[in-house]
Amino acid sequence: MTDVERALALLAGDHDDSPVPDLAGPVAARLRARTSHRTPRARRRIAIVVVLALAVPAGAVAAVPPVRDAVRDALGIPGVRIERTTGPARAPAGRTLDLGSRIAPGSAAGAVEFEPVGADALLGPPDEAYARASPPGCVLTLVYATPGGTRLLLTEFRGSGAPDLVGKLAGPGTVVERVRVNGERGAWLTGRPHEIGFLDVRGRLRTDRLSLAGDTLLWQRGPLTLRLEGAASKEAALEVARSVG
Amino acid sequence: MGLVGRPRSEHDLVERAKRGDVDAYAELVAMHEQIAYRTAHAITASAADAEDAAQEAFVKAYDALWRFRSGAPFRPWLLRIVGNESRNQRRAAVRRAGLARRVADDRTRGEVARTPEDAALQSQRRTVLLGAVEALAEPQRLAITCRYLLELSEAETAAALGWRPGTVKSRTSRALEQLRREVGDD
Repeated sequence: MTDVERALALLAGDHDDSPVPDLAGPVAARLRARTSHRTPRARRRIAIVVVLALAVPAGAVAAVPPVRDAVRDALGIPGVRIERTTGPARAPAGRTLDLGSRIAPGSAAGAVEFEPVGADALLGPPDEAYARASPPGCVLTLVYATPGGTRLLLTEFRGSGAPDLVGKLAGPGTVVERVRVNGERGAWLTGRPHEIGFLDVRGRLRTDRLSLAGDTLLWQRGPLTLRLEGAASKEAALEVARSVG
Repeated sequence: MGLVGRPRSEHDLVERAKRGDVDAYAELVAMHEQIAYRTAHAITASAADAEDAAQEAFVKAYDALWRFRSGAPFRPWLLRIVGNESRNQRRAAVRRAGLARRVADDRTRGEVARTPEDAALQSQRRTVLLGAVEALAEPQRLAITCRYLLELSEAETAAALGWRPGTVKSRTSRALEQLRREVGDD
């Protein structure tokens, strides 16, 4: 062994002292979240069957009750769960998510249990603000009216450490694309409107709080999980998201 | 999860995981997460991408366990999947941004995080050598990182990087030659 090799060997083990993230926990959670009590081999077959089922035109499966838990996208965004359904989204269009009580935009910081953030740098101060006391930790929604006349909804809650708070049911036509916002995880949901709702304590989507959502960007920002709806395009959504900092 | 205190053999854990025992698989993940993450980090040059790649690789490895030959060494088999996922992540990252910029970002952060005491303790030789490793051409840097810094075997390096064992050997020796020229062999 030469001196260079010896010197390299000395570096082994301490050349990189950056922390190694916990992988066993998230991996086990992802595996458990899939169809349980199956061997890996059987699970593969199920996954393939489900993918085929999703490829069937929506009209052909409309008569079949939606199958939840068929495929769940584990995106790694804290507090968010996305489930696939083979049926079309069920919530009546136009019904809105219960955003909570309306508060003065300037009082948001005092109304929720976290340090709120906003897209004010890009869009100016929000036009409306809403706060919900449940799920625990509170949910804040800021509404920004854009010059084009559309409304952008920025929803924020503390996702890390909490059980899933927001659930989404993505129908057969919804495309879930992984993105990054300022280096953190995110997802861009587009295509067919998907359902969104808050999960109750038992992890079920509250159907009375379901609404149809258009294109949505979900992303993580430190301890907060953010959701932006109403942007004209993926690029516009990402621009707003990046401006949140 | 190992509550009885008897250390479980890797073979035992693999067999149980093959039958769908997620707890057993989680133990396997815990045993190998460090080397999987470090290998992914060497390839992706990004902490976030390395975490994604390693997590994805463990999920894929679970799905592929039924193809794993009982009694074969698990680590090289796993590292092959980790390497594939890491290269996929990196390709996506290169499309997203410039890799060079990301690498620079990550390194700056790493250095900022060091305390002055740590910095003072770093011998000059160590810093020079690490700098020389970082400055190597990509294949040589990966070869040295895997073989010496991560202490992977030649077979494991070949699996992780998707190279033939002969390629690992030749790139490693070329890299060692260059490091000798750069930092001297005194």
